[in-house]
Amino acid sequence: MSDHRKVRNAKPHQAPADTAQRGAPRGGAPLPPAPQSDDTRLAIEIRGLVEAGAMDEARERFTDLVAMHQRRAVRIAFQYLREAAEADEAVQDAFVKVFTHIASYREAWPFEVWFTRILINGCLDRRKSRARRERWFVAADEHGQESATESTGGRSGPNPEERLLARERRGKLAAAIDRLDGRQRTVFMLCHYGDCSPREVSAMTGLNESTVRVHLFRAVRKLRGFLGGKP
Amino acid sequence: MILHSGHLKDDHLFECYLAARTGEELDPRAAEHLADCGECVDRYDEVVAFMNTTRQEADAETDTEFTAERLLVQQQQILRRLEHVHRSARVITFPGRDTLSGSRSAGRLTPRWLAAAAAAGLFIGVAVGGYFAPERFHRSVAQVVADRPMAVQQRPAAPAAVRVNAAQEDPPDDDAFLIELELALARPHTRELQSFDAMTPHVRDVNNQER
Repeated sequence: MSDHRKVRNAKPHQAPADTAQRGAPRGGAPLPPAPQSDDTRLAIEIRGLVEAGAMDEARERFTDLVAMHQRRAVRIAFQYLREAAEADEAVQDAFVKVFTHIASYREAWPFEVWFTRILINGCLDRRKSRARRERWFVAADEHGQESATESTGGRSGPNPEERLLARERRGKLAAAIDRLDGRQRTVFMLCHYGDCSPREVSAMTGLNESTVRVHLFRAVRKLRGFLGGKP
Repeated sequence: MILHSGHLKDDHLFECYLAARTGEELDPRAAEHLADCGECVDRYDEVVAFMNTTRQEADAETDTEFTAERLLVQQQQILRRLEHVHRSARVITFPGRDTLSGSRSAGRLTPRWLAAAAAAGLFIGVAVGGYFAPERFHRSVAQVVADRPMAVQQRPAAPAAVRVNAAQEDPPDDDAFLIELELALARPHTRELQSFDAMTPHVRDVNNQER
């Protein structure tokens, strides 16, 4: 299979412990010792509070962590799942899981890597279960869904024609991304929408960094081909 | 070999884009070539434009779906869910075993005795009834069925026109058959109860006799 298995095999809450013992996940180059980022420091602080039993304070501090990563998490989940409600749930689940397993977080890897790994695993699970559901039930009417969100959104800005064109473009892009090989899709999502560097993606997926770069290049080339541009 | 027919290869162009985005150091040879070659710069710009467009589209789409209010609601939902984390589940205690077993024995024994007494009473009643009126007890179901047409004949006479029509449409055999059928449906289907049914006077027979 694809990157799915790679990401899945490494349990999110175990990953940092593993990496602390072995230096790096299989295939992934260890990140050079870098000054801890704000979110990593905060995660360590929250871990300390949870271990000390100061749950209320830990929850309060966790709010800042949520605020730091929420937008990016939503973008990744939404691009992955293409359904707002499901992306919303996936993001919530990821944050709750992070808090539940914060005691197993090790600072050997940046918090962002750990969190993204948990999020992607959740998204992959949801995609899988959705595919299973769609085998048995009729798929929801996408057109109806879109018109429903538009009617409730009351969006201002571009005129209806521009909105329609934008929707078409996004639909095409989403379909093109969906046509990518699973591994290429994950690498593209993480690098492009998740703002991760190839090295970070390597740490998340367990792929070699050069392999990540190759997948990313191939994904972009394919996408340009699918979308009518120069492959 | 990063040059292909005097120009940068596609993958090297993409590496340049990645390096610029992530702040990595650019390959000096590629940087040098890009500074001189207009065609490669155009190709590089195409790559950058494509990547930027897809990113902007994704951002715009996400922003449309996830407004600031929605993100705030999501944050609150996350916090609500976190309130239950690391908190042990509440266990509702049920009444102790002793109280349960006591009430169970009291609650079950009474109906058992009642059921046994009712069965014994029924048996004695049937036996006494059979002893004092054996001829009624042994009267067959066939006799009862044979008696029924008499009751039917005692019905008030219908108007002449109706009677003629009825005679034309329902021959006497059919009528008897229907009555028999009705009786068969009305009487109990359990064989053990048929003898009880035979010795019990029916409301409709009494009514017919009164008329």
